[in-house]
Amino acid sequence: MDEKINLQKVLDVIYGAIDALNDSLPKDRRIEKSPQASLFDQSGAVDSLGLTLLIVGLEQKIEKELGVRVTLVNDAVMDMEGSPFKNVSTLASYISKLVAEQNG
Amino acid sequence: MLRGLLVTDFTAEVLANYLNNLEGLPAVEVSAAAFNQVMPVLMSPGDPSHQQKDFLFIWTQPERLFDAFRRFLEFEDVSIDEILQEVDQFCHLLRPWEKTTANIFVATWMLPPYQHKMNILQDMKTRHGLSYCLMKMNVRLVENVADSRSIHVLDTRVWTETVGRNAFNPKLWYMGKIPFDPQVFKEAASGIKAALRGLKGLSRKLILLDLDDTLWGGIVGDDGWENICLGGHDPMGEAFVDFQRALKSLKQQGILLGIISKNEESVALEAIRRHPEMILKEEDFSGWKINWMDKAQNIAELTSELNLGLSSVVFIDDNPVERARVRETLPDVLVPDWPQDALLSRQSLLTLGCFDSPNVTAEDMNRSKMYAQERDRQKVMAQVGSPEEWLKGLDIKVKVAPLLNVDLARTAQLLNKTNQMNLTTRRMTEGELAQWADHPSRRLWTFRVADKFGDSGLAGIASLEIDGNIGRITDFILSCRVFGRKIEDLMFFIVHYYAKKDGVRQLQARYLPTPKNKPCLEFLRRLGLKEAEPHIFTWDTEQDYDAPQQLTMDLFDGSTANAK
Repeated sequence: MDEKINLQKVLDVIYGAIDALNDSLPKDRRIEKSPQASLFDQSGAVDSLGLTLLIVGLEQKIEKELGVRVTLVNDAVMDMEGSPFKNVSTLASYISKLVAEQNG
Repeated sequence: MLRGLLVTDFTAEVLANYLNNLEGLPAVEVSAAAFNQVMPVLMSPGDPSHQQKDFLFIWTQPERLFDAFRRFLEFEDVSIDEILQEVDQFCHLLRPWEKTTANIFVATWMLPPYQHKMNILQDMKTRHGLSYCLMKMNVRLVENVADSRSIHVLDTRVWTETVGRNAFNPKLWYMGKIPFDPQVFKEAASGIKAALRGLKGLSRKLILLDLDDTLWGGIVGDDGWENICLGGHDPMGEAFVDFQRALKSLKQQGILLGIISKNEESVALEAIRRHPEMILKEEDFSGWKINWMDKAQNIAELTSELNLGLSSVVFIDDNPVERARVRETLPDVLVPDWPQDALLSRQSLLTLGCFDSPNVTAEDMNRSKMYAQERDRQKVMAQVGSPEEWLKGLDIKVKVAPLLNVDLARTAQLLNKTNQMNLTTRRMTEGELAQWADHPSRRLWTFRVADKFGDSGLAGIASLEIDGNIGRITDFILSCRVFGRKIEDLMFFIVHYYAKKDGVRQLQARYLPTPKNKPCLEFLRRLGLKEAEPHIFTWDTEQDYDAPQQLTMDLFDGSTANAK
C-alpha cells in the first residue's frame, strides 16, 4: 500500500474516533480534526479520561477499518521519549508504524 | 432546567456529558457524585450538596455494591436469600430520598454476557445460577419500590442490547473504570431524557398517519380496498399488520391516532371499514382529514379540532416530500424519517422515544372513545336551538372529591398535560404533587365528569392555599374535552364554597400567561372577578357565587348541591 494513502487512511480513522469522542465531551472541550490538533500534551486538550476513550475507540476502529488488531498502549510506548499521543500527527505516524509492523 | 445527580460506582463523566449535551426538552444539567461513593451518598439524602436536585440516577454494578453477590460470583456457598436481604437494605436507603427528590431512577443490575458463558448449564439453576440470581435481584428491586411514586426502575439491558456485542469493553474498565462502551451511555442518556419527558408531561399525544404505503401497502384509490397489501401470507402484508398492532397498543395507552391522507374520503374509509385484516378500526381514530388539500394545513386544523398543540403531534408519512413540507411549515410537529422498507415500520415507531408515560390511567385507555362521544355531542348541539338547551340535555354529572391516592396518577397527568384552561401551568410529578397537597393549609379537589354520552373521567383540578383569611387559588385546570359546559363555573363554585367554610374572606387568583392559556384568562374575566392589577383577580367570599343550574353535583362530604 502506498505510504501516503496509508497515512491518509490512518488520519481518517483517527478523525472518526475523534468524532465519537467529541460526541461524549462537553461542547467547549471538543477536539479539532486536523493533523496539528493537540491531544495529550501540556495544553490539556484531552484529559486522561478522554485519552482512554480515544485509545479504546481507536483500537476498535483500526481493527474494523484497517483489519489489524493493535494495542496502542504498552510498555514500549511508556519507554518512548516523545509521547505518540501528543497530537494527531504524532498519533497517525505511530499508528501507521504499528499497522505496518502487523502487516509484516 | 432540571438538575440531576448521578450516583454510580464507576466513572460517570461520560454519561453526564451525554445528558448535558442532548438537545430537546427537558433541558438537564447533571453532575456526578464522588467516584465510588454510592453508599455514603445514599445514606445522606439531607446533605446540602444533594439538595435541590430534580432527579437522582443510581447505576451500580452488583458485584461491587453487594458483598454477598460478589461472594456468590466467586462461587462461595452464598444463598440467594442472603443476597436479596442486601437488595432490601439498598432499597431501604432509597426511601428517605423520596422526601427530597422528585424522581429517583435506579438502573437494573447486569453483568457482561461473557460472565454468563462461564458455565451456561449452571446459569439458570436455582442454586448457583448467575442469570437466575440477577433476575431475582432485579425483581426484588422492582417489587420493593412498586408502591413509590418517585422511584422508577430503568432496565439497563435495553441500552446494552441496543449497542450489541461491543456494549462491554474490559479495556475501558481497567484503564478508566468505565464498565460500558460510550454508546451504552448515549442510549442511557436518551432513555433518561425520555423518562423525564414522560414524567413532566412533555410526551407526544397524537400520531397523524398517512394511509397509502404507510398504514397499508399500495394505493387504495388505484388498486381498490380488496387489493391493498395488508396481512395475508406476505412479509410486507404482515409487517403492515404488525405496524397497526403497535399503533393500537399506543392508542390503548392514551395516544390519539388520526389520519392525514390525500385520498377520496369515501374510498379510504371503505378500506378501513371493509378490509378484513385492518387492525385499526374507524373508532380507533380520533379524527381525520382525508382530502386533496395541503397536508400541513390539514394537520394544523385537525390538531386544533382535537384541542391539542402542534408540539403534541407526530406525523408519519412514507413520502419524503410531504415530510419535508410539514417539517418546514410546522416545526413543532415531530416528523421522523420513515423507512422506505415497510418491514422496518414497527421498529421505527417503537424507537421514537416520545410516548413515555409513568402510568396508564383509565382515561388514557378510553381517550379515543371520548373523542367519538364528543363527535356525538357536537351533532346534538347542531340540532338543538340554544347552548342552554343543549347543556341541559346533556345531563352532566360532576363528582367532586379531595385528592385520593387512587387518583394521583391521573391528577398529575392532567396537571402536566393541560395547557389551555390552566391558571398557572405549573408542572409536577406525582411525588411532588402528593407532597404539595399533603400540607394542612392546602386543599385540592378533583372533578369527574359524565354525561348521557359517556364518562369523561377525572377532567378537572382546583387547588387552594390558605393563608389566614386569604385563599390563593394555585391550580385551576380543566381538560379541553369538557371545557365550555359550565364545569369551570362549578369548579369556581366549589372553591368558593369550601374556602368560605375554611374561614377565607378573600379568594385570589394570579393568572400566569403562557402562549396557550388565554381561555383561562377569558373565563376569569367572564366570571366577574375583580382585576385590580392585570392578571391578579380577587373575589370577596361574602359575595355569593351560585352553582350552575344545568349540572348535577355529587360532593364528597354530602353537602347539598344548592349550597352557596
